[in-house]
Amino acid sequence: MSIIEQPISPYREVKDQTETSSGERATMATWIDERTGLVSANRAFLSWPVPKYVERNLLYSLGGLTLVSLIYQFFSGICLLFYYDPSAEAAYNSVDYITYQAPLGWLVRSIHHYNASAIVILVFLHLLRTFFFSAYKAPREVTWLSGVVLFLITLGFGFTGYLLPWDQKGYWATRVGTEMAGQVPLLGSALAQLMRGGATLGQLTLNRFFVTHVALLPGALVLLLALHLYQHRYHGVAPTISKRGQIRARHSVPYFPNWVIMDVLLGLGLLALLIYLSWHERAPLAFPANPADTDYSPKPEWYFLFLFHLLHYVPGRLEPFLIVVVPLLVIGSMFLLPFLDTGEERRPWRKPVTTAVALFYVAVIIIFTFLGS
Amino acid sequence: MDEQKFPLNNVSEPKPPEMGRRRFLETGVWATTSVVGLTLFGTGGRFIVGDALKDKDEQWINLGEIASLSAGQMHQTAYSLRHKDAWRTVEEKGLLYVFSDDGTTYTVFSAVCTHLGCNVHWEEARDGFSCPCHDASFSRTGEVLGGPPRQALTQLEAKIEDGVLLVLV
Ligand code: HEM
Ligand code: HEM
Ligand code: FES
Repeated sequence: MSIIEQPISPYREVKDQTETSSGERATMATWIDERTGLVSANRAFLSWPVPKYVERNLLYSLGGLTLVSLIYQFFSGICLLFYYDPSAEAAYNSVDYITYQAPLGWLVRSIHHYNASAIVILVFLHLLRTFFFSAYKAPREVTWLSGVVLFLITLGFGFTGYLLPWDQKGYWATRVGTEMAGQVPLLGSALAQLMRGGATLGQLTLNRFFVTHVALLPGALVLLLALHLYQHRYHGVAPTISKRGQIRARHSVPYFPNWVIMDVLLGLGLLALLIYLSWHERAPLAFPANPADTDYSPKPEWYFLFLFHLLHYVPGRLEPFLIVVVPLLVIGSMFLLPFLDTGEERRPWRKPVTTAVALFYVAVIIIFTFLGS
Repeated sequence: MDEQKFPLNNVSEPKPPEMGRRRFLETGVWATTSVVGLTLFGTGGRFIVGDALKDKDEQWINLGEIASLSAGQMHQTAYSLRHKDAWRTVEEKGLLYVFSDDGTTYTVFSAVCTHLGCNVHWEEARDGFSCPCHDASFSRTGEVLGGPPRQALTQLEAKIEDGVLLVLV
């Protein structure tokens, strides 16, 4: 006799299927489900029908792979926290200890190091995929907008993480980075001081970057990701843009295992790659931060290189303009995109203006990244 | 929710006096939450900003006997000083350039490039400074000769006491 008199929620009806499957496990599952509702909720979650065109399609695995990559990053990041010491005197030594003495420390830190780049690449590719498939169009605007914020959060992780080893690389990149914020007209110097926690780069800067890296951004990321994935579930997969996809769209497959299998296999491949890279060459550690050095020529992490390198081509007078206008233009157009491109047309080759603008941005970023390196 | 146990649909159409009471309670919830929220964010915000917007504490440092700083030549001097960084006393390092025409008045430049904060080099051959970051060049007197900076190198206040050069950093 079931303790629930009437099936009320759609999830609870699924419960009956448990009883048809035989044996202990079914009874156990029923017991848990009647008390928590989690078994049937999980079953409904996994059996979500998705259009067949997502199956065995790498482009549709980019979001899932980004998620896997983020899990690796949280995992390795939390491991690092067991040894990392966020103080100006000790940070360098703790990272040195992690890299050269702690058992498997080289692996944990190198995975965090290489995977940081992997995340940036994967998020960017996923962004391009959803852009070229017009997945931002109504009613999926909020999926896209939450994605844009996730993208900014990822870059924030990269910027704040770079300083944490308190070596020459991180120190000078952060000095230049905060000075760039300082060039913003009117608000600049206040902004730079707020980032640094004072007039100069020091302990307070390290604390600020550390808290942002390990508490604020992870919290923000989890919230935004929940919104992003909920939106994705709520609206379902966006329509396909290819003829072949339209034929396959007539059939659906369950999310688990048909879609998930690709993410899991690619995730395994990514982990293998990260371990190989770490084994091949462990994450670098420059000399300890030295503000009195004249020979050190700072370079930011490669994904900020294009912005840094653009500065070479702008006369000093125009620089504040560049520093404000370029990011505002790029980020602003990403935010506005779903409200500007509101037509029915989803195929990128049929809406040349939007496509051309995007390709222009991508080309500028790629060209200046290469020129800068 | 189980409609048998929680007949919510009875509540959704309140009579006028009931309506006023519900509005009042709703407003109460929002008002209380706002007060709590503002208190938390106000306190947290002020706390996090801390002393970040304060100017740097300046202090005089000793660059040594002027006798050792020969005139007509650019001297590169690294300094380090004990400096209070919030709750810690830390060693703060920095780099200066010292120059004198005649051995009586001294010009001291901070090595920090006025563009984005890299340290500039002295280049004897060119009789000027250059910055490695975005190829800026400055004259011996700190004027911008080329590149992105918009301000001359920062000149620091200097004085001589008992034959010792002191600089305010
Ligand atoms: C999108 C996610 C993240 C990115 C892109 C990222 C990026 C980075 C980068 C670039 C570094 C510098 C590593 C190096 O020395 O080369 C770093 C260091 C560090 N990160 Fe993260 N991180 C992320 C998430 C996390 C999380 C979630 C935690 C922990 C809760 C964490 C904890 C740390 C710690 C303790 C360090 C200092 C150790 C070191 O420098 O090796 N990170 N991170
Ligand atoms: C932390 C970074 C992110 C994670 C973990 C993530 C995760 C995902 C996942 C798992 C999906 C479903 C699978 C797929 O379509 O690939 C998805 C869909 C989507 N994402 Fe992201 N995403 C991230 C960032 C972004 C960014 C930066 C954008 C764009 C600015 C974006 C826009 C979208 C859109 C529009 C969809 C719906 C695609 C469709 O319905 O076909 N996401 N995301
Ligand atoms: S920091 Fe010196 S030229 Fe840019």
